[in-house]
Amino acid sequence: MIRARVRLWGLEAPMLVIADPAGARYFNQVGGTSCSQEELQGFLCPLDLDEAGYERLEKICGLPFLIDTASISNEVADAIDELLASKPSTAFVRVDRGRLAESYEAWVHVILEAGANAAVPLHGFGAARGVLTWPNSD
Amino acid sequence: MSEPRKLIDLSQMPRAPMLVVAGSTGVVYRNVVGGAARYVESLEGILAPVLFDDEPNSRVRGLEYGEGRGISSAHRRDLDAIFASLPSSQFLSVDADRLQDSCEAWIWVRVDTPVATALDSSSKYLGSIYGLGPTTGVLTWRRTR
Repeated sequence: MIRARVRLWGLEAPMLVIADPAGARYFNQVGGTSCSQEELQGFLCPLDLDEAGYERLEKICGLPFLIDTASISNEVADAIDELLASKPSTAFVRVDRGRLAESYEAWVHVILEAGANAAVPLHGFGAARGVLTWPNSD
Repeated sequence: MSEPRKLIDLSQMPRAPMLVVAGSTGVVYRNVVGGAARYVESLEGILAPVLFDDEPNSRVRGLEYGEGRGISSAHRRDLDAIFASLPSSQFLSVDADRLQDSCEAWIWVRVDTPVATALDSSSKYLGSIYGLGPTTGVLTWRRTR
């Protein structure tokens, strides 16, 4: 266990925070112009989304489904899942439908099922939960 | 140290250099570094962003590190000058005792963060990490070759 808080405001690209009580407390400004502060204890992990994937993610969250403080809808979750499922290296991530009400632009709760897939960046975590986070649009 | 059982591979990390802060967390971060030498290096700890602008990111990645292990005192001077020039990275300095353990995309650094975990709006500190005090880590990035 490590006693640290880490600010994610300057992320260059979408990344995962894998929930884990042994990790640091990662916090980010999210939710569009609402500038909400969200925090999760765990481990920061890269995600193989290239620039086009990141742009698509931003467009998904810029659709009328999502307005500032509104949590994400099933339609947004469907679109994010479709994006993640489009590559073997990101298909282990899917939106946690049980936590849509706590998910916003730049802070989406996800379920991680890496298994033994060598294309994914995390190993040994088993089934895990976390958040997909990226620079807020505010 | 606890026995690490979990591993996170950094070969898909964003282009910007990031910091692995050493600590007994049970999670190891691994990267392939050293240019054409392709050394596999790993460190137990946590991962954090550090440099928030494209230009210094490019300067750090663009230094001529040469082949093989070890960086020079000139690399140390250049990297420290980049760190010192940015409010977000002034808490970093190259670890002078570990120049020979460093290489392209794997630079041992000293890290000096606030001891308090709460953000202090009156503080001049603009780094990304809070709560550790003085410690060590590695600045790493996606290998270019």
